[in-house]
Amino acid sequence: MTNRRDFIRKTSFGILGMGYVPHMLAKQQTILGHGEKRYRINTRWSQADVARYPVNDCHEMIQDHRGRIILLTNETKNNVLIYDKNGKLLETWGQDYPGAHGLTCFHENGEDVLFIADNARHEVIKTTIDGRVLMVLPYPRETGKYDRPEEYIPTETAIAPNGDIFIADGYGKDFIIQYDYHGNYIRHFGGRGTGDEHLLNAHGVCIDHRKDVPTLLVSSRQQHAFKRFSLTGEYLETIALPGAWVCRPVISGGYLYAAVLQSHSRQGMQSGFVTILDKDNRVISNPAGSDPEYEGTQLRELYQTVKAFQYPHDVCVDDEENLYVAQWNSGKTYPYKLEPVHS
Amino acid sequence: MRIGILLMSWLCGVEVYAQPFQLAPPRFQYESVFFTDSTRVTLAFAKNNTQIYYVNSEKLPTENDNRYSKPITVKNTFTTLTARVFSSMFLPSDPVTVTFIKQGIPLTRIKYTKPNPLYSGSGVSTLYDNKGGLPDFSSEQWLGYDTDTVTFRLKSDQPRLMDSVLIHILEHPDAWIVAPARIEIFALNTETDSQLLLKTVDIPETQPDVIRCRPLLISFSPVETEELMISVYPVRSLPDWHPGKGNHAWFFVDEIKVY
Repeated sequence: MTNRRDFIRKTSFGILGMGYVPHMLAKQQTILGHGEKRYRINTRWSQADVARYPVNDCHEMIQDHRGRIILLTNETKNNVLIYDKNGKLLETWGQDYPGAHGLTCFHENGEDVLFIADNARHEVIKTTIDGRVLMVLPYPRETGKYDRPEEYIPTETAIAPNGDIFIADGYGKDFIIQYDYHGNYIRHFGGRGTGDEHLLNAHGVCIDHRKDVPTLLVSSRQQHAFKRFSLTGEYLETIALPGAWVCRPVISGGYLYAAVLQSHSRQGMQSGFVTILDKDNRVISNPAGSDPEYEGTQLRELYQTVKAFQYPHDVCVDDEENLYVAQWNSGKTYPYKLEPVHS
Repeated sequence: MRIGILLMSWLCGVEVYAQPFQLAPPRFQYESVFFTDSTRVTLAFAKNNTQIYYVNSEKLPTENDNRYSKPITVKNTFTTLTARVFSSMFLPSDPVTVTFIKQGIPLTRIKYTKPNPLYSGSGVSTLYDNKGGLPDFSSEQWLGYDTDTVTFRLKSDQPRLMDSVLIHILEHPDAWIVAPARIEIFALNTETDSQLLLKTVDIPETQPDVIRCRPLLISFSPVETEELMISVYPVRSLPDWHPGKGNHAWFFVDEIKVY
């Protein structure tokens, strides 16, 4: 039995010891992930000169149709950084997006266009690939749900095959607002509540085109789930991911990828990882996360196991199945690259 | 040994599989850190080729300590467990320490300062329901205060010899929840309407970089009494190192025990 005085000495004024973690070697061969989705991590992918091209939060990344990797940061010296796949910085633009958060690419009439969700400007801005503004979508007064722009804090945009624009108000009122390609309001759905169709921290949104009828996948991050809706806003299903604060869903090659900002069991402790689901919505790999384990159809709680990331915020999958992981609030670090390991 | 492997790999022309990353801490799974007779604690870490080692103290576990293989039964009044994960492929995790606390003197009544309505737990029973020890401050297991003074009056079923009080608190710096600045313990005599100061403790300011539950055990000279009063003085102004410096701190408590 612990001596009480000994206990007093240790617990009254003790502090949990924290291990010192040296950053040992430049050559990194750490393999992360499970099964067919294992990756070699490269934390020094970006060759950008940090003094000239700084980043703040690295929020989202996409690959354009020219194969370039495009990063969005809320650093207004250069909101958009464009790389090749080897991490060579090709060009930068953008100084007008203090709340740059969501980045979506859409191929429109043979040209790439970008949609930037800016949660400080309370707007979504459509631009050309080199930054010329094409359209600005202000706060959705038409919904009747918003009195002021500040109530609307958009985090992400998805574009349907017909050009319809779906905006997730992920830091505002958690509605999904649907517009036509001209920016005319159509409908809204989601929002907060206790029903299956409601959302909590609707952080990301994407079109799931893996089946004949495309659907909309929405993150409900604080509910640790993705929720599926029809493109007319009907709730269809919930994909539960216990313990995982999932950011935007990303569909590529039949799989669903997502950055997990943090583990629910270790909130505020840089406990993020990446998760990958197959076409049947089963988790098959968690790079830097726990081994995926099911009891029947029930997925066991997910959590970080390797401290490779701090707060992953988005995953970009390129045409060679490499992953690029952008991170929020992680020491202004550039994205990491995860290269597939083929056994 | 790891250096030997690296050197041999290099000499043989094999790629050096040096691992700069650290494992995350293991998971403690339990219903509550508070218990009546005994409780079971499970340690978990869902990653292949890793092992959990633990000690019955706050010492840093090594691979020479107890290797975890099955749930641990805890019976002692205060049992501190510290666990860590090891793997040949990664750096060992930071330790996780949890203290399990047995029931103290039965209390028949607690009068308390009402908490902030946002964090009112499940009422006064929060303080003696043997539930808690989990760091989710939004749960019903915590009472949260942002006032200058918080008072608890604890009454037992009869006069008893008492020599210590345990106040189980939360530290969550990002949520402005920190340990209080001062705690005073009084013995009350309702017949003479008097109070005797038993102990004053000034709690040193710390700068924790983790969210943690913390048992504050305060001992005093044994006294026979039926009722104690605890006055807690939360931090009025967050210190300079804190992002919210100058603002009033929060004080969170989920259980109080008397021994």
